[in-house]
Amino acid sequence: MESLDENFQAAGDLHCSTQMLHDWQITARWANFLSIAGFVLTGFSLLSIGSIPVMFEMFSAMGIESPYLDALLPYVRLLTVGILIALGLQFMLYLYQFRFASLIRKSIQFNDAEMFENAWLQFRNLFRLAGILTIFLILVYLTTSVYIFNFVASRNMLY
Amino acid sequence: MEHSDQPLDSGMAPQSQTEDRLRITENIRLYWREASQWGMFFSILGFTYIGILITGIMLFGGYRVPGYSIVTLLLLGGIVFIPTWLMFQFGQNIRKALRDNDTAAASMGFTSLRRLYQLIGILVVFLLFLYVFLFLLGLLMVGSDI
Repeated sequence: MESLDENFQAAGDLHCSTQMLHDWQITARWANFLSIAGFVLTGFSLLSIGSIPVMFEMFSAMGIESPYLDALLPYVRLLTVGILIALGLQFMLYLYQFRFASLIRKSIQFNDAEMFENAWLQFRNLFRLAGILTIFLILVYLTTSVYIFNFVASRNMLY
Repeated sequence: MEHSDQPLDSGMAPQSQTEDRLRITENIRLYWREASQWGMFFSILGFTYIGILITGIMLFGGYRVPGYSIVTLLLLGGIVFIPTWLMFQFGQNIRKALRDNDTAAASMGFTSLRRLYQLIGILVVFLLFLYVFLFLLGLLMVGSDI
């Protein structure tokens, strides 16, 4: 015989509703599209990365004078490596998104609990990586701003 | 011999069976909890950005900022606000669902997530069309010069 509390627990327990399944299927479809678009974008960015050192050399050869260019010139190689790492991380983000999309679709289609759990692990990883990258980017933005401001101020170019 | 007279969805589970089989395990609850926390973090960042934007408009609204008119800033704020709000709704509802074992709240949270993905997807499609249009326009202009 069940007690009232057990009935309440069963009724109040978190479970998958039809609406949730419908939302996940649509979310997975868009996530799949976005991840494929992201892979293509990362590929194009990877192709254009070789032009960065050439571009900086061209600017110097043309005699373009800019305090920002002067500040960045010694770090061109470092900048290229930095962009490569950023593209790698961007690829990871899209990969997590792609895995989430395909696993959630398959888990609903084939009623697979293991795939379902793995899909949410990918989703958590996606949000975690995106969050850590956001914090890192804010720090890089602040540090670079201070560096460039100091560089310009040290050359008395502010006024 | 393989049976070819089976319906296309023979390998798929019926919806009600899927609901029963796919259970919210303790691990999934942990993943949802962390994802919702990051969601709240992103939404707070978004709201902070909108706040800075509004402060900028109020402080420097009378002056012309090169490249940024008040209309542009307001438009930018509006575009940022909707995904930020959806992310906030997702984070808040999932947290509530996990705290109170509330399926309705979880459902609302995932509806917000679905809307967020749809919005970003539509924006990306729009941007892709814009790029293609501008590329074709550029080709036409170069062609007319030659």
